[in-house]
Amino acid sequence: MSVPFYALDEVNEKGVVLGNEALARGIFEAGIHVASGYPGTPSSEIMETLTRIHQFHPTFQIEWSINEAVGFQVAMGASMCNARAFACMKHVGLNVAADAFMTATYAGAKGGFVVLSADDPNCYSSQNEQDNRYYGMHALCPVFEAINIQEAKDVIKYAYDFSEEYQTIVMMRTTTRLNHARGDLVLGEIKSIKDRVHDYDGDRSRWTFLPSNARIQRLKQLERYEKLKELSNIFPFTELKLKEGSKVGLISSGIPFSYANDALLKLNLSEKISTLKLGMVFPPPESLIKELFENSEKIVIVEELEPFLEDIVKKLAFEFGTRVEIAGKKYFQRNSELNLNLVIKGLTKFMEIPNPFVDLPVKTIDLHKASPRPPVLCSGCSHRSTFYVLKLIEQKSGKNFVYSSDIGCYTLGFYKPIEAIDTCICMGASIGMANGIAKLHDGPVLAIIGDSTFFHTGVPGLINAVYNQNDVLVVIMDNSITAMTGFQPHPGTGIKITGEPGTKVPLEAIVRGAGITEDHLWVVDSNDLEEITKAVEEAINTKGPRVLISRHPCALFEKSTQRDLKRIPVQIISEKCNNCMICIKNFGCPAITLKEGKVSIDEMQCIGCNVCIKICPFDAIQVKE
Amino acid sequence: MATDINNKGNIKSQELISEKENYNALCVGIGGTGVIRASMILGWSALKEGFKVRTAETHGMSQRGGSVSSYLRFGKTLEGPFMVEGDLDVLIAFEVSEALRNLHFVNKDTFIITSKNAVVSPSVLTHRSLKIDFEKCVGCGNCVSHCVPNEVFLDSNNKHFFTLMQGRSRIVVNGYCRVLESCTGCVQCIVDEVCPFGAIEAFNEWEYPEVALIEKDIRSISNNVIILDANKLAIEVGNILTANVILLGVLAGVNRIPLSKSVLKETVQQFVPKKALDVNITAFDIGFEIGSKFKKIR
Repeated sequence: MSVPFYALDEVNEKGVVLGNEALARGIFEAGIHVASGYPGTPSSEIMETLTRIHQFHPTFQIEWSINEAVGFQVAMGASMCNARAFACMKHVGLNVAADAFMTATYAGAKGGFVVLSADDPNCYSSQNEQDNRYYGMHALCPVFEAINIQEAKDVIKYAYDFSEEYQTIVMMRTTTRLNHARGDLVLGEIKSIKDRVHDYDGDRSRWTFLPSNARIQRLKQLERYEKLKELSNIFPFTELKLKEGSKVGLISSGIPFSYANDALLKLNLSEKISTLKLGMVFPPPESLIKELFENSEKIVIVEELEPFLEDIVKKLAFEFGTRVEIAGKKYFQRNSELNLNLVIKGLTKFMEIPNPFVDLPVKTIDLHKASPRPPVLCSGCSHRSTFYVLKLIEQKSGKNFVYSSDIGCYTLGFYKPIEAIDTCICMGASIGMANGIAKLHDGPVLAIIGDSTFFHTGVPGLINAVYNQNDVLVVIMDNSITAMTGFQPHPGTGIKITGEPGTKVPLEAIVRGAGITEDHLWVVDSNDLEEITKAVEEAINTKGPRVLISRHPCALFEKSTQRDLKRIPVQIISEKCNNCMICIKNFGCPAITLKEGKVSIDEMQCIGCNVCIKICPFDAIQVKE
Repeated sequence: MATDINNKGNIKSQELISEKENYNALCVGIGGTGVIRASMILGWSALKEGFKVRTAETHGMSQRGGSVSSYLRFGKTLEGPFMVEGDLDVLIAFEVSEALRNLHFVNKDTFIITSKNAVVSPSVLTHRSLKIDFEKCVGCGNCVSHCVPNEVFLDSNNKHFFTLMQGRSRIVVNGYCRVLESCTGCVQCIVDEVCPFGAIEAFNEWEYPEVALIEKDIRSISNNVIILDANKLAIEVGNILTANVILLGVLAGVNRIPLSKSVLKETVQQFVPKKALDVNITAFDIGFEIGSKFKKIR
């Protein structure tokens, strides 16, 4: 097997890589010992890239943890033992890890410890677009950002030295536009930190947060924070560029700084506006900001999401008693992400100059007539057959089911033609909220949750339902992999991140251990419509907390891993087909389509699950001979 | 997933002939058409030509039939991955309605290379229904008794348990025929002309535009347009998956951005599977031929 570019030993080699690959390379170059995390877009490829690097350089340990809290704790334990540690998560993952994070930041780090928060402005693949810079402020933890791929690698590498030297945990905050961007990268030297003693250091009062110790650690944290404030002014990735004769200043960081840079180029303002680029966004460099105040009459802050820097800068202006005009969210929207167009629009308004880029030649054409492409469940997806049967039985029963759902592929059951999903808030909330809904709703309450999500945070909700006797039917849609983030293994698969065998943790064992008895547990094959129908009917008519495990491997994963699997697509028998479209409108598999007005099967897409055969009232769908 | 470039890049420092400092390209299509791969080939080529490279991708859940866009910028002074709207040098579309969706990035000089490939989203089909023109309808109920899904639902002897979802799709209320939500939009009643008064109309919440009209829109904006049936050409070459390489060949042929034919071709070879090397080289050359001819006509 040939070595991928990001795993090469050669220093100064140049290549084009994904942001997440650059971040992984930086962590590797820093001499990582332990990496842990839970998959979540846009962060997942960092751990996957580290795993690829691990294949060629097995100098460190790596794992998928069952959730971000455990992942963070694994890294914290390693840092405590003087190892360089990495905890990887998407922005909402830090909410899960926050309990540990808020206290661990009192004690700080021993071995270099970087926690990466991949934020997702515009909610491309997330339930919200929270701004995790506030977590840094909340925990007095330094927050680093990078403006491009090269910096992403360099900053996170530097973060390890910084973390160790100042005994602080560092938060590397990225956004989708860095994680999922590509750019040129020059490889750096791979540090080897082998001759280090790794073990618990015996510093019991530092790591044991009894109130008496916590009070002392709190003071140490505040002391460390004062030091960090000074260090922010000399941070190597922070840069103040004062332009001669300029009366205007611009403050920005991360990807928005790259837009600001390009906007100034486009507007020919590069030499007329002083810029302050922040590599450490928290704590901010107070002296540099003061210097910019002294050289400016007005200052604009270009940042995505919340007015985080704007509020800080305004507070500093008040403290310094300066009269400089400060603006930010007045010109840049608070929701969604920025782009070059929006930054140019905001900057021209701020500068009170005309925007030369408003007159588009396209304005006579309605671009919205290109029909939308909302995501649908894949062809052959086993969730579709489970939903189909659930909806069928709901219709027959005449009762109103509530489908409390969770984070995963099955939430696509919100869209047409399934339109089942009623809720989706956060990981594990399907069961948790179903506990509450069941107290009030007159009719079956279903919690729809995937296998990986069940391991992540679903288990406590189930135990709660058993303990409190809440009338909830938990449907675990087990496709035997983490599919929405791209096929990561989990405890139920028994495979570790490296591909080596781990110990399999069967869902049934957990469910039984939580107190679900055999007469309240059904395990069925999702694609066997008769079997699942019987099970759902029984489960709906049973009272109390109960679990239905609907299991069938993810069709895409099976297709990509078992290439020799025999797939026999179905065909439409045209003499029998009435073109009633029941298969398209009610079942909605993307492999069933219309060709010249006639229902037909797209053989490129059909994976041969054969479920649709049972749906057709005219026996017009049959296995291809 | 991850970049799987095995070669070390093999950087060449080539004199930049053009006067421009930065170039903007946009590759668009749907999941599975090779958009990201094509953009990576362009990105590595730009690196080899000695440029700074930036790309950004919008794909979300592309495996599930979504739109994919890959913004590519390369040059000397740029920093961010996005271009200003209307500032594109090249638009390459692997699916024709995706070209339409992204025309706001185009100006009259932008070179547009698009495949005729038209992929209708499955969601378009599930957003189809019917409308009754109440001016014409007399409530005769002919459409109710001639509705196939309605018959299936009302057939009490129906052994097909699994089709009994949704419910009635037609009824007569207050002297008018009504279309209910469970209408499948099969439009069979229109095809068979079951309504003696012609009161039934198809109602498409979403509609895939006619390809000829999309072509017209594209040509109305830019003077530099090549629209070709890349899928057909790719099948002729022997592998439908080479359609994206054909379009890259066209790009090399029209020679509008400073990525040379030799560098592009070499990078294509790095990115395609070894067993499909020959067929991809043929595909690239066919595309190049088409692209260079366009130049001569102008």
